[in-house]
Amino acid sequence: MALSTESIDAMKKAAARYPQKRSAILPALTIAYRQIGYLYDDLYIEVADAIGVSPNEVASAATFYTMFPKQKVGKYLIQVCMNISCGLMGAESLKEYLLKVLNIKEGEITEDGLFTVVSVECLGSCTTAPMMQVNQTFYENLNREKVDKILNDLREKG
Amino acid sequence: MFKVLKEVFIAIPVGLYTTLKNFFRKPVTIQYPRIKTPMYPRYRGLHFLERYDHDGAERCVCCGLCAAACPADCIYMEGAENEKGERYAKIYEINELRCIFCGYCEEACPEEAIFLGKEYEFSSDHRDKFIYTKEDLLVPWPRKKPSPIKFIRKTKRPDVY
Amino acid sequence: MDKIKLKIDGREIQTEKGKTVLEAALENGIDIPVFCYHPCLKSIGACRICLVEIASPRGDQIVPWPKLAVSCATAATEGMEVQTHSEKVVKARQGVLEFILANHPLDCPTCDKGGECPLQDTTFKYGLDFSRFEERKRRFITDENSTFDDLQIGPEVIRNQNRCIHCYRCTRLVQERFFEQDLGHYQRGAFTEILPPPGGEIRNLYSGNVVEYCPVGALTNRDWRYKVRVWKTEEIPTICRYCSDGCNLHVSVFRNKIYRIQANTNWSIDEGLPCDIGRYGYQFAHHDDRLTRPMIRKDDELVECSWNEALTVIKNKIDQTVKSLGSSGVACLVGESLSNEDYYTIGRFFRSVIGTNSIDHRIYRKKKLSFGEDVVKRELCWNKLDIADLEKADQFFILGSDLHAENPITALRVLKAKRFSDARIMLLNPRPTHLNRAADEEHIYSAYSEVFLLQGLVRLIVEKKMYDPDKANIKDDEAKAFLKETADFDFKTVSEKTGIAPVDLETIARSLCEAENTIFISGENVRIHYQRDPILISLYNLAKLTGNLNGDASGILMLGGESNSKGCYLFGMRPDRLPYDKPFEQAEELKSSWGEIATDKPGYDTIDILQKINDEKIECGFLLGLDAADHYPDSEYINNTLSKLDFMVVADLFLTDTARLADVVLPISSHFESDGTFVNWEGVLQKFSKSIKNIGESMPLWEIFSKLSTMFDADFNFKTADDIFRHFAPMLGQESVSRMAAIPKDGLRSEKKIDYPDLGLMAVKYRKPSHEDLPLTALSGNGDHHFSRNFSTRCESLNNFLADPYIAINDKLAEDMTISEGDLIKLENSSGKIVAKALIWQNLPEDVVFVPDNFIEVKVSMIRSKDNDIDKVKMVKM
Repeated sequence: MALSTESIDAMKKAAARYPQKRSAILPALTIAYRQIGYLYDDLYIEVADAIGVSPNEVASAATFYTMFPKQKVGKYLIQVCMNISCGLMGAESLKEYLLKVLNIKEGEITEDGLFTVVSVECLGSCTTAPMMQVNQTFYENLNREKVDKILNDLREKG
Repeated sequence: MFKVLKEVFIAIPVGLYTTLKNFFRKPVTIQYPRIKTPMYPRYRGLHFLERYDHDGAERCVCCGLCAAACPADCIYMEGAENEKGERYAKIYEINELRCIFCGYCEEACPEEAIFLGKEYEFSSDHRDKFIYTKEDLLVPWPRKKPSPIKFIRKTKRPDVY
Repeated sequence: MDKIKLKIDGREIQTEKGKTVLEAALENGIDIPVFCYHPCLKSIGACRICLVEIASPRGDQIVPWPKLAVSCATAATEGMEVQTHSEKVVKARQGVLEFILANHPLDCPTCDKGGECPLQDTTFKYGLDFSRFEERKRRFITDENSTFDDLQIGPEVIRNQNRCIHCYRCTRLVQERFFEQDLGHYQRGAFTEILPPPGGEIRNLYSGNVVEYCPVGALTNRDWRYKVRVWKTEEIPTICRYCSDGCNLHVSVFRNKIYRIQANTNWSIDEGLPCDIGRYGYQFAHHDDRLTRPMIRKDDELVECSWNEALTVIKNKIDQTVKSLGSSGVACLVGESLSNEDYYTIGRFFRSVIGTNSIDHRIYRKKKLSFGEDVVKRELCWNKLDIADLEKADQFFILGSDLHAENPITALRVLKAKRFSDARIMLLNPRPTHLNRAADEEHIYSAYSEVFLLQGLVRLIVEKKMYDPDKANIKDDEAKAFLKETADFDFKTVSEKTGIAPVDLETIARSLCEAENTIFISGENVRIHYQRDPILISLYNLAKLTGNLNGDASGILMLGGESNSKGCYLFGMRPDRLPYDKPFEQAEELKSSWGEIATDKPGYDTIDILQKINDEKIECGFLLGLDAADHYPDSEYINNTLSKLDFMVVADLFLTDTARLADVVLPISSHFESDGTFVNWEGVLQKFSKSIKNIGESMPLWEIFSKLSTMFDADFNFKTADDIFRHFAPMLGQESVSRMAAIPKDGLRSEKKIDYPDLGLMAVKYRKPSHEDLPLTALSGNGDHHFSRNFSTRCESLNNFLADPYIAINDKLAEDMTISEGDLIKLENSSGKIVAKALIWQNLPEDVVFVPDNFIEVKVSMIRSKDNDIDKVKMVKM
C-alpha cells in the first residue's frame, strides 16, 4: 500500500461530502498526488478502493488531467509555459537554458532529485511572459539571472 | 501446246518467285521449344505473387479484393495471423483453368502483390494441377533475377500507414 | 404522445415530440450518416458527421440557424425545416471526414471491418478522393517490432487505437447500458485511448457488442480475425439456442461454415445487443466431437452403422416391447432446446404411433411438486409481461435468480429501466450475483429460506398495514385470518431464519408498498427449489398485496430455463398435455389429423418413468437432445436406472455421458442445420433458418421420427420443417400465419393474456428440508460466459473467458482452512465427490459453496442425491 492511512481517511471524508461517489475522484486524486508526488496505475486502484468507485473511472479522470504528473518527478516540478505570449518572449530559450543549467532532458529528474522541467500550455499569465510555475508558485517576467536566483534559492531550501 | 508451255515457263516461275522471295527472307516462325518469342510488355500470362525487396516478405495481405474483382471467380483465399500479428494469406489458390487472364486482380490489388507475368507454358495432363497454390505463385526468395515490376505505390513495407 | 410536424428535405414529416431530428429522418428513410449515434445510447454529438442545415419558425418567418447543427442532439420542433443534403451540408461533411481521415490509417485491406465499415461507406459517399494532409499520421505503438499496432484488451477483443475516431460508442455501451466498468477512455484530445482499467481486461458478458458497434476497425474480434472477408459471407437469420430470452441473431456463413454471429436487431426483444454466449456460442456446431453417424451397441461397444440399420433396430425393439409390456413400456424424455417442430413430431410419434403418453422434459427436478390443476398455480408459469414492458417498471424484486447469467437480455432491460427511468433494483439471493453492480439493495439470505423471507414480508406488510387497501383488495377479517395462520412467521423468526436484519426487511416491505409498478422476477433457484409452489404462492400474495398483480408494467415473472422451455411445454412434452397446452378432453381436433391417440390416462412424468424403469415396467427409453446422466440431480441413481433399461435410444449432438450408456445413438443436427421455431419466455414464436448443411449424416429429430413413422405404416410425410409448421399452425390461433415464411420478423406474439384471478391471501407452510448433517450447502448455477452443458464448453471463444471449473468459497472459510486461490479442493458427501480449483469470493456466505455446473469434468450431479432436498457437503483440501 502506497497510500498512508491519513490519506485514505481524508479520501473517505471527501467521498462522504458528495451524493455520488465518483464526484470525489478529483479530490481523492489530489490527496494521493500530494502524498506521493505523482500518479501511477497501481495507485489508481488504491484510490478507487478507498472511495468505492471502479479503477476505470479513477484512471480515466487522472489521465485526462495533465496537471497530475504520471511519472516520478523531482521535488520541484518546473513547468515552463510555451504558449504564444511566452513563446514570443523567449520561452524556448528559457527552457533550453534551464535544461542546460540543470543538465537534464525534459521530463528527467536532476541527480539530487530536486528538479524536473516540463513544458506546458498556457498557464494564464500572458501579461508577465515569459513565466514558469514551480509546484504551486508562479515566477514571472523571467530572464536568465532571475532563473539562476530562483534555482539557487530552491537549492538552498533543499 | 502453246498453252502448256506458257504454264511451264511463265506461270510456274511466277509462282516460284514468291517461294524464292521468301526462301531468302528471315523466317517468321521460330523453332518453338528451343527458341521462345519475347512477349509483348503488356502480355498477361501466369500470375505471380511479389515480395518486398528488402526483406523478402510477402506483399499479399489477403484482403480479398482480387477475388472480389475476379469475373471468373477463380481466386480462393483464407487469411490468418502470423506470429507478428500481421495479416497474411494462409491459403491462396488460383484456378488457372477458370482464369480468363483479364488482369483485374492485378488492377484491384492495393498492395501491389499480384501480377500477371509472361509465362504461358503451364499446360498439364490433369485438371487438378491447374490449381496454383501460394507456393507455386510466390516468386522464389532469394530472387534468381531482378523483379520485372516497377512498383509505383509501395516499395517498402509500411512503417506508418 | 404529442405529435409534431416538420419538413425534412422538403418532405412533410410527422414525429413524436422529444425525438431528435436524426431520429425523425431515419424513421422516414432519409439517410443521414452517423458514427457516434446509436439508438440504444444517449446522444453525445461527438463525431459531427450528422450535421444538417436547420431553419425554424420565429414569429411568422422561418429563420435559418446561424450554424449547421448536429441532428443527433437537436430536438425536432414544430415547423422546423431541415436540409440534410444541401451543398453546405455536404461540404461540411466532407470537411469533417477529412479531419477524421487525417489520422485514420489507410489499412482497409488488412482491417477486418473493411466491407462493412460505416467510415468506409460514408467516405465513399461523401468524402474527398484525396487528402490534403501531408503530416505523419498519429500512431499508438504497442509493439516496436510490428507494423501492426494491435493490442489484445480482452479474451475476444483486439484494439487498434490508430483507427479509432473517438465516437465513444464502446465505452458508452459498456458504461451506460451494461453498467460495467471494464472499458474506458484514457488520456485526452487526439491521444485518447480506449483501454480496460489498469491491470484489467474487457470481459463482461456483452463484450462482443463493442466490436460490432465500433464504426471503424478499432475494436475487432479475435474469433473472426482475418479469417474471411465479410462480403464473401452470407447472413442468415437465426435464434439463439441458449437462454430463454430468444435473441435474434445473424449467422455469417461462407462455404458451409459458420464464421461468426452478429445481432439481428429485434427491438422488442434484444435491441441488437446479444450477450457473448449467443455471439460466440456457435462454435460447437463445427466441433470435432460432433456425432456424424448413427451408432449401435454391438458386443458392449458402440460401433457406427447406417441409418437404416439403426432405425430398423429401433423399430424391432419398440414392437417387441409393445408386445410384451404394452405401449406403456416405452417412455421418452426430451431436452428443452429442441425446436417446436421436433416436439410436435416426437409427440405425434409417441402418442399416436406407439400410444404412450409417458413424455416429459422436467429432468431437473428431484421430487414431484404439489403443482396441481389450480389455475393460479398453473398460470404462474405463464409470463404475461413482454421483455419491453420491463422498461416501464419502476422497481424490480429479483428473488433467487442469477438474472445476469440466466437471462442476460432480460437483465439488460432491467438495467435499461435503471438507467433511463431510474428504476430500483432489489436483489435477494442466497449468493452474490453479478447484477449487484447495479442493484440499489442486495440482500443475501441464508440458502433455502425463501419461504420464510416471502411469507415474512407478506406478514409484515399485513401486520403493519403498510398496503394500500384499494389496490390490495383485502378485507380485514381475511387479513386477520392470515395473520393467525402465519403466527410462526413473525418478524424475529423470519429475520433469524433468513439472516436479513429486521431493519432491512422493513425497508424492503416499505419500498414494495410505495413503488407504483413492481416486477417480481424469480429464476433458476426457484425453478428447481424443493418448495417451488409455496414460493410462487407467496410471490402471488406479495404481488397482490402491493397491487402489482395485473398491471401493464407489473407482475410476476418466472424465468430461467433453456431456449425452448416454453415451447417444450406448449407443444405437449408433458404426460398430461397435448400440443398447444390442450388437456386430453380436447383431443378430438387432434385425432382428425393424428389418428387414434391414447387419451384415457396421462402418462408418467420423469420421476415416475425412472421409478417404472427400476420396477421393470418400462423397457424401452428414448432420451432426445438431453444429457440425462448429467442433468438429473442424482448421477448415481440415474446411471443405475438407465443401465437397467433393456433398450435405450439417445439422440444428441455429442457422445454425452448418457449416450455412452445407450444401445443406439442417433446423431442429430443443431439448430443451424435445420429450419424451425423456438418460443421464448414471453411466448413469442420465432423462426430460425437453415444456415449450413447437416454435419455428417446427422438429421434433425423431426426428420428422424418422420422416417421412423414410415416403418410403422403411419407415414407422417414431413419433408421439410415447414410441412410440420403447417400442421400445427392452426393451433397458434392466428389466421394470417399458416406457413413458416409468414411468421413476422419480430416473431409471432401470442395475444393470449389472462389476468390472475383474485384468490385472496393464501398462507403457505414451510417444510423443513431433508439433508445430510454436513456444514456446507452446495449451490450451482451458470459460470461466467457459460450456459447449460455440452454446448458452451465446446466453444473455444467462451472457454477463453472461463475454461476451468472451480468451486467458489468464502474468504473466511478459505483462511480457516488455509486454502488459497487455485488450490485443489474436494467437496464430498455420501452421494459422491467432486474436485476442482478453489476460487475465493468475498461476499459469499460462509456456509455456502458455489459450483458452476457447465463443465463436463466436474459434474455437480455427483454430489446431489434425489433423497435429500438440500445438498450439503463437506470440504477437504487436497
